[in-house]
Parts: sequence; structure tokens; C-alpha cells
Amino acid sequence: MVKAVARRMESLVTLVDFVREFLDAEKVSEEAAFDIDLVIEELFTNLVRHGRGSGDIEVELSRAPGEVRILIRAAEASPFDPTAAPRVNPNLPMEQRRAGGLGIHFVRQLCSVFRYEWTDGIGTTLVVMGVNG
Amino acid sequence: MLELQVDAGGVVRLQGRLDASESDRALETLQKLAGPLTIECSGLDYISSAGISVIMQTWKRLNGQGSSMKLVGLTPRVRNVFGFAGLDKVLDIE
Repeated sequence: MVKAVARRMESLVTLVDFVREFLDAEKVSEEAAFDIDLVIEELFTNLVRHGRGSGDIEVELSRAPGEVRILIRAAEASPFDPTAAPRVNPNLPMEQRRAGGLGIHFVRQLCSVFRYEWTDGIGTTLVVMGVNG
Repeated sequence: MLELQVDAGGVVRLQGRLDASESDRALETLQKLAGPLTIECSGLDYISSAGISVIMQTWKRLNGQGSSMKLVGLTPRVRNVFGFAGLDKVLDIE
């Protein structure tokens, strides 16, 4: 399933509905669905807030035995690689924490594959997440 | 969709999804509240880093004022997200 949404935060509601439709159709467990929902939101909001491009963001979801694959494509003037985001130290005391960077930290914790490539002005992020069945 | 209800005694009830589309509204409400606060999360189905940021900012503000905040009633999935962030060890979570 593929869905293109406008590159703005208001599109998140549409994206959530699209993801839910896919997860229900594929009978993904609620536990895995939560994590998939989280990863897609974090990658989408990262692009909306910090990306260097314009135009729609396309999300493609597919199911294979034991996994869900997520492809996110967006036009970017130059590479905007989420896999290169600085690592977060989750062991710092609260006073030294900043809120930024946690989203990509969650993605790293939840996926088995996290890759990015940029070709001809299109950035593509691939995430693979394990699911039962 | 997030429902946010402020009860007497500094209790805030969160229901639904605290995601990036709702985080500004949640922070705006929480910023107006004096501590100590109890955030009741048994109806909170989902939280993302945007929601975690709201909780962190609220904790920091209250802590800076010499007050406190605790989270109660988290579902296992929502609690997992706090765990990913390493916040389950530093926040007051019941």
C-alpha cells in the first residue's frame, strides 16, 4: 500500500489512518502495530521539521513473512539521512537531557534494518521491523 | 485524538494519542498548571517522542520551581516508550 501526504504536521492524522488500515488488513498484532505506528510518525515528523525539501512525502508499506517493510520517499535538495542522526544517551540525568533526537533513537531501537539512500534528488528511507507471523 | 482533562487536586487525565499533532496543545495546557501534578495515563493509548518531550518539559519546569510530577496508570506499551528513552528510571512512575 502506498500513500502520499502533504509535507506538513497536519498530515499526520491522515497518515495514522493509512497505517492503521494497512495494519488491520495485515492482521498485525496490537503490540507490533504500536511500534510500527511510532516508527512511521518519528520518520515523518523528522522530515517535516528538519528536511530540506518540498513536495509530498510518500509512505509505502508491505508485509513479508515475519516482517513489515516501510519505505519513505521524499524530494530533498541534498541528502537528509536520518540514519546519520547523532546518538542519544538515555542514561543522562534529566537536567542534562534535551528533548530532541529521541524520535530517531526510538527508530533505531525498534527496527532490524534502517537504511537511507539519495538518488536524483529523492531520499528513500527503508525500515524493516519484525512482526509475528 | 487526545483528550486532556484537568481535575481538582492537580490531577491531569490523558486519553487517546499524545503524538506530534497534539503535543503543542498538550504543552500549552500543562504549562498553565502549578505543581505538584499527577498525570493519569490509563486511557493513554499511544505516545511518541513529541509526547515524551511534553512530559520532559513539564517535569523540568516543575522541578525548577521546586515542585514535582508523577505519572500513574501507564499501559505496558506506553511505559515501554518511556523505557526506550531511559526515562522510566528518572521520572516518578507508579
